[in-house]
Amino acid sequence: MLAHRSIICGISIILFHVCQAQPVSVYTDSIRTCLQLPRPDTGKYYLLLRLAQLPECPADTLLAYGHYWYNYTEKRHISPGRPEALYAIGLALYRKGMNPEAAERLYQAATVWERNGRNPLQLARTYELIAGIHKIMQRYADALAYYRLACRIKKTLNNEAILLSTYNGLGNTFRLLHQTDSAVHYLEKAHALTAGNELAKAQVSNNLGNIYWSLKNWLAARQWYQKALQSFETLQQPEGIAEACFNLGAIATQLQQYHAAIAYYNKSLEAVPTGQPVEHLEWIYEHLADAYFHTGNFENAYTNERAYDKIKDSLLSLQVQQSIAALKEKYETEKKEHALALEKERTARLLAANSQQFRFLCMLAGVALLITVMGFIMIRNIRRKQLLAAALAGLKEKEKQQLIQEQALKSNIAMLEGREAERQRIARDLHDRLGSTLSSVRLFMQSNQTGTPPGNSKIMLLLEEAVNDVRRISHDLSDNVLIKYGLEEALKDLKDTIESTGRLQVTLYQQAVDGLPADTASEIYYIVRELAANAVKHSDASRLFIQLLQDNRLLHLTVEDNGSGFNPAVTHKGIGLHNIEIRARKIGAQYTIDARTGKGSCFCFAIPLP
Amino acid sequence: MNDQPILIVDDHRLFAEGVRSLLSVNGFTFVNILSDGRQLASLLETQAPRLLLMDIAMEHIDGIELSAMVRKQFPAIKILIVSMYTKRIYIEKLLQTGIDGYLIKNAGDEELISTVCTILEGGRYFSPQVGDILLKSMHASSGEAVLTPREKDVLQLIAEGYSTKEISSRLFVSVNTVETHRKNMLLKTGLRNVAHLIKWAYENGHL
Repeated sequence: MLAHRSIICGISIILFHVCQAQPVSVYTDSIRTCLQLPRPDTGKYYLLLRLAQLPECPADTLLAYGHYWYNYTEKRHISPGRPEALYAIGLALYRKGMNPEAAERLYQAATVWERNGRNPLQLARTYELIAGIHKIMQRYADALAYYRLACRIKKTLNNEAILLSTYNGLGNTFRLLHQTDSAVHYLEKAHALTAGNELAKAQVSNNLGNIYWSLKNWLAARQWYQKALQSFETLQQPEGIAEACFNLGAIATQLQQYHAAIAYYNKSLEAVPTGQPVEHLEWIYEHLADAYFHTGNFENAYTNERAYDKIKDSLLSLQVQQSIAALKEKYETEKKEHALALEKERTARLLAANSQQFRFLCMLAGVALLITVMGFIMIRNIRRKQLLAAALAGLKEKEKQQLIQEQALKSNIAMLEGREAERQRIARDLHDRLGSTLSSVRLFMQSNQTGTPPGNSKIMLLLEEAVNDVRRISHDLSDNVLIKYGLEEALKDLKDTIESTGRLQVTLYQQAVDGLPADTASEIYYIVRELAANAVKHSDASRLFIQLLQDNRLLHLTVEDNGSGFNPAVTHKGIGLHNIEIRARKIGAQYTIDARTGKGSCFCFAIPLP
Repeated sequence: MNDQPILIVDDHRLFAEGVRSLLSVNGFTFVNILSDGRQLASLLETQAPRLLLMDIAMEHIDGIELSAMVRKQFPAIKILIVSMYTKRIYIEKLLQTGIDGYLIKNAGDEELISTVCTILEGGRYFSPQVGDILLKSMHASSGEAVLTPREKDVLQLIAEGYSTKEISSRLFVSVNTVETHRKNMLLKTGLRNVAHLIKWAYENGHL
């Protein structure tokens, strides 16, 4: 599971970069127009340079403007403008993923600003970018150091809002270092500053969700993912929506709320734009199949499992490509790291350049060798795949059938268990209540006190008790009312019965339902009875609300109590909840459980009418 | 008065015998017992008891059906139900058929005898518990819509201007659940839209 997650996280980082580069602003258009002029408008250089740094501006535009401005400042000897230009170039290179080159420019800019102390805010931003590059290169200690430098400077500027990116960066670095406490601390600080910045809000919420996920704190994770989803929906960003929905679905699966999970997964699939990496979809299909399986919707489960298989097959070849890509990336990273090291040791530049050339040649030879090996593996894989495919298909089908049979058996057993439990309850009640009363009568009769007036009255009292016991026991057998007078009366009777225990006040609100099949009626009755029994037994509730309302061809059943509630993720599915699930499935009802520890519980069923 | 014939219909022989001996001690001498309710109709063709003493839960046919039958075919015969049951639905159904009395089975000797006398004199008698149950059911069926705590939570947030999505994330429930609560409130109150609902809730002190 966690492995899946890390893949998703990886993709999400890529997605964020993709969406940041989308040209959506009017600024971009005006900058482009300016760039296309025969002689760029020098008077607006600086202003346009700042505009080009907005996230929605394409990196190439920013790079072009950075260079223009740099040349301009050189020609006119405008020294304060030079670090600005270097910063812009560095930012553009960073956005293009050319990290070592970016770092070189950023170090230069930082050196100037460090020396003259004129632009602390820009200096802090530069530090942050450098920290970001360190983070990408997985040098987290360096990243933390630079983020802290940025943080220290920004704190002197008396503007808390600008600390958002710093806190976010610190939080994410700590997350990558698995120091979750610190990560949560900084990300929550960042989240507090996101007002009015929807994209930041979405990303920070998402990051917090990821942390809580890794801590297996599903409820907190769900809360943050929901916030992220909300922000992404405001931003109308399909990739974000897809990811948040997938995450929420995965949590719902963890909480065994499979209907909710299905809804989220489907929403996620809907949101994914065509042409996205397929491995993302692969996991959704697999999870969706799993969720459908748990809700007993085997047809949909199977369809999704098939979709998953299909993508997975195509991934077999994709995996090979990916491993090549990974090797390439490794080589790239090494190259970049090398370049960065060069930059750091500027005094030894000449020597380093020589060694770089040598290493570059070595790398080229290495890559050639790797590609040959990968080609070999690819051919072997294709052959193996063909052999396995047929065998796998047969096995899968067999497994599915077996599982379906098992599930049917399980639900039968559960029904029987329910009936058996009822029988046991009656037996227990008879034994405990009536049995003991009657035994005392017998003992009393055997003793020599019979015949005397006080002895007789004692026997009368005991017998009266026995009669009451019988009434109470038979009272619980309300099934007769259901059969004879229908659901409406049976529910009223159930209300009376529950209230006669003196522990629970029941508010029953029901509308007359026309055309309710007897089967559905009895399942509804038993569902309510089971939930009511739970409320009496386990929840310390003082009020119970039962509602049965008709909306067109849907019947809404709500059973809500004000008791201690429970945590659905923790509460083991006792026989009660399991029976409810089976009964709901039998009448095709969709249901949700809204239960929180200390906040009561609320079960909502949507029951289709014929 | 005490020579009027009485018929006890109860499949519980011991109980029936007990009642008969109690009645005979108090001077009611013409008391018969029928343990199978299915034979009642044919028996009443030949015998004409003044009073039927009947249980509700019997093996083959219940006292409610029998009462209805007797009321229809032999309206002159008085009916006294003696049962363990205090189920509201049974009591309501029996009252609809027009019985003359209802005693809970743990009633004392004196209550039973006085009830039998009252009914034979043309009066009616119901155990105090029966009256309580009927009163309670009348009170409960006033049918006024009440909001559940979850519904109040949702309505409160609607009134504060939050969207369904926002409400769902604030209450940690799905959008679907919020929708269900909203719909249920409208269905319950019969109001047309949420604006009316909010107004209604404020006016009736639900918010």
